[in-house]
Amino acid sequence: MRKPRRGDPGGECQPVEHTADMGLRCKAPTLEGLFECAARGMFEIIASLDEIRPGESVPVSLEAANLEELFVGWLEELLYIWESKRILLSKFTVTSVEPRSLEGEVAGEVYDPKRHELQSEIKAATYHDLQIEHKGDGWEVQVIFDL
Amino acid sequence: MSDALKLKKIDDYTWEIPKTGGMRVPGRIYADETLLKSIVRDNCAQQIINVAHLQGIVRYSIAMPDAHWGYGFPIGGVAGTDVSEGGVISPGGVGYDINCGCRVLATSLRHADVKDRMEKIVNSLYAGVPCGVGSSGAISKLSVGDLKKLLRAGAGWAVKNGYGSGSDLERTEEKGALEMADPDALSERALERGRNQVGTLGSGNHFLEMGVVERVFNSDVARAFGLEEGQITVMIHSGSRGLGYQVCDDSLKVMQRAVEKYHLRIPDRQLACAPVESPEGRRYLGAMSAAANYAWANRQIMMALAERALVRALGASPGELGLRLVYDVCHNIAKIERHKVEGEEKTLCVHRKGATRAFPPGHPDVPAPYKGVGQPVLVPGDMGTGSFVCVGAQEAMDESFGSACHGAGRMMSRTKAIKRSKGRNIDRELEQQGIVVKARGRKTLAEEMPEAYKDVDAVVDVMHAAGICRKVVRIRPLGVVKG
Repeated sequence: MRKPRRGDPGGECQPVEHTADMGLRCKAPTLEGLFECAARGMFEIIASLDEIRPGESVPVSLEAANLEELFVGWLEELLYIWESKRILLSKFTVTSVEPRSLEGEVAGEVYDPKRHELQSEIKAATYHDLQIEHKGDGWEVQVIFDL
Repeated sequence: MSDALKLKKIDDYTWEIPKTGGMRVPGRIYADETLLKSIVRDNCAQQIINVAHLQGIVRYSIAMPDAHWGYGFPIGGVAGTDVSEGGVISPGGVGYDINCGCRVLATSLRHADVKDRMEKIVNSLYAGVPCGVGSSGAISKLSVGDLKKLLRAGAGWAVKNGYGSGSDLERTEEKGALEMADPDALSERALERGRNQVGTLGSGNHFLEMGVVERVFNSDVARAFGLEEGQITVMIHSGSRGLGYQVCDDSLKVMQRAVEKYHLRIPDRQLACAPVESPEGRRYLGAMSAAANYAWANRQIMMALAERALVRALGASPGELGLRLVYDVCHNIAKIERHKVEGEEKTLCVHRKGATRAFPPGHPDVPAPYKGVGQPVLVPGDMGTGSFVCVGAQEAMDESFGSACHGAGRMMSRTKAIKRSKGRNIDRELEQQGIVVKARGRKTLAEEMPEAYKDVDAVVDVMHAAGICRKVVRIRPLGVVKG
């Protein structure tokens, strides 16, 4: 994981050890920040974000039955954008998270094998042990990815 | 978990987790004392217990000796649910990479034919079979209509379109196509993800490997499989790529609703499920079968691409190369099968999540050429150690729903493997052992280093000693392509 920089939202992500796969434990002051933080953590597993210019934007609007499904749906949506449009994402903006809906915008650039080094393929974000919790003055989540 | 876990020793290779709380059946672990420690240390034991809660599960929630912590089911988990008793099917018992599996190819080459040319061979395989994160473009992008034909016909579609021969199908589990496939049960997204990825390896633990048969344990069975000492083999490990991941993801959403609708109690959301005999269950079976067929077509096409790459590298004709399929097995699947439970024949939904079918001699689903000896069980190890071809035995039918282990099984997290590889040159280390490796990403190489895996010899020895499957040959790696 790279160190936080100016302009990053106030969240932080730590890798979680998993025998077969990989997980992230993320904390952020707001739910929106939590979703952004997890998305950034996920793309840092896929590629080095330093090399990705956020020139191409894609709006994201989602609905789900509950907050956990919304969270997994958000990450899956971004994996789908990457795989179907070949856009590596590096900027994640979530403008609102209601328990059953999300609005936001993500940005990145089309994968260029000359400039971008891919690291790992993430097959999916799983529901295994997934819990989104409001703790103290912020939000926390642990998510396990299938690699 | 491990402190509170009480295990009952059945024999030297079989352990039971007694039924407690909401478990409907006990857990059963196949392991020796050393492997057992690594299974119990992992969160794997809790996942064996969780699976034992599934509605309709019969006999045991089983973990193979290569078992380790997964998501939902443990990797290396097997569970059979009784279809007529409301038994459930769970996408979490199959995984995202539906019909991730393995095929072993025999050649007419001897070790001496390739040993000075491995660099060239591996480079040619690397160039000829697309691999790596999000790899695509092995064949022209398919129209949705053609993709749906592929999803119905599986490996047969590949053969019809010039990749391999009809005799390959006979040596593929289910002849390379599940009849229950329903391409119309797939979302537009799943279809879109599948159009451009057929014939590609992917990344992670997927690989294309050239090896040599270094030891024969059972010469009669080896002869029936067309394998002998000193012979060169090719092994392909891959699955259903993005199409399969999307089918699993789409189905999990539906299954979350089904859990409420059918009042099912599950200890982990990733085990979301529905009765097999429900609209949700049947739809998942149709979609999962279509994704499984995609994986068989994928491996069939890669086999043909590998043959072309080898012909180029060796300057040999296909006849001289003599590439032929020994067998293709899936190790992430749910199947409707007949098994005896407490002396009574039952229709079960057998989930194999990181486990291989291991049918014995005489079973109707064992292909004709192997009917007298049993089904080949393919057990790939890590890239520096070795792999096994085993053969299914009656004990598997009696004890493990006709299932055996599927590999060495990870024991080290990817993060730990990367830390452990710092300052080392994994490809150089393998080269010193006589193994040429070419990987799309250096990180993959570190994550997949041999130390990250359990001892495949120990894993297979447990299966052999427990009588579930028997060792036939051991294959030593010579050249490996990783994504």
